[in-house]
Amino acid sequence: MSRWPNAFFMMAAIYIVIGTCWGMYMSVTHDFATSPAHAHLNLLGFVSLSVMGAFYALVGKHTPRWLVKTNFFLNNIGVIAMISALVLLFTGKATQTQLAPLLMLGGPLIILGFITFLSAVALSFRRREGALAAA
Amino acid sequence: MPRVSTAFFLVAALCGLAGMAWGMQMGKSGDHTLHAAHAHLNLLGWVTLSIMGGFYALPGTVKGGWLPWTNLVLSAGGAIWMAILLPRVIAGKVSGALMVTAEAPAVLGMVLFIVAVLLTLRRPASA
Repeated sequence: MSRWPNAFFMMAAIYIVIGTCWGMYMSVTHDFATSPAHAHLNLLGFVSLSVMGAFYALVGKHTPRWLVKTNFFLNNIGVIAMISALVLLFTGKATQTQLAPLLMLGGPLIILGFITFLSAVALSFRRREGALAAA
Repeated sequence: MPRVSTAFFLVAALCGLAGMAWGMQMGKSGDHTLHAAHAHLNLLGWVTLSIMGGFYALPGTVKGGWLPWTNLVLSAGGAIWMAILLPRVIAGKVSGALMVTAEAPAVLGMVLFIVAVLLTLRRPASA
């Protein structure tokens, strides 16, 4: 099996370690100003990348390698850009106008990542590929 | 279980894509009144359907044809209908009581998923 699913899970695990430490830090300091950024890191970083890793490991085993790689880099760069921008925004260190370039990078990259994932799923659906058929 | 897993992931990815485009639009406009509907579409559509699709892809899970497909129709229908209805409820255009038409299929889908997990648990045959 390709090692790309492991790469997805590796990054997901890194994001959830950061995300949960961040959550604990917020609850200790009682400062929840950045909670939307924390939620988006957990969901776009941990949950979404884990789901994609599981799909490529279980169902989409025959997805072209370049499509898997593209999905991986788009979503990872997108998440890092988006979360950095949101943290700076919610802590008041920068304004929405100053952060526009970073926000306009993160969001569309994640959307493009999702489009690549959707293409991979559609490809495997067209190939009539299923869990057991694709051993 | 050839196709149902892929079908789950297909609807899930579509919900995720729609939910994220919606979130970006909220971020851009600065109008976050519908953020609850965005969150429900992403969690019930993208996350929940993907987890179910992942479960049915594992070897040894329930093999009955109708159960996973009914689960898909109910869970996907509930998530999508909720995403359509919730903004209208939040805006006060329709009564909140109507939400039950989205909640009922979503909950029934989850009940069917629990049945599938229990059936697999009782008979861990070909795993």
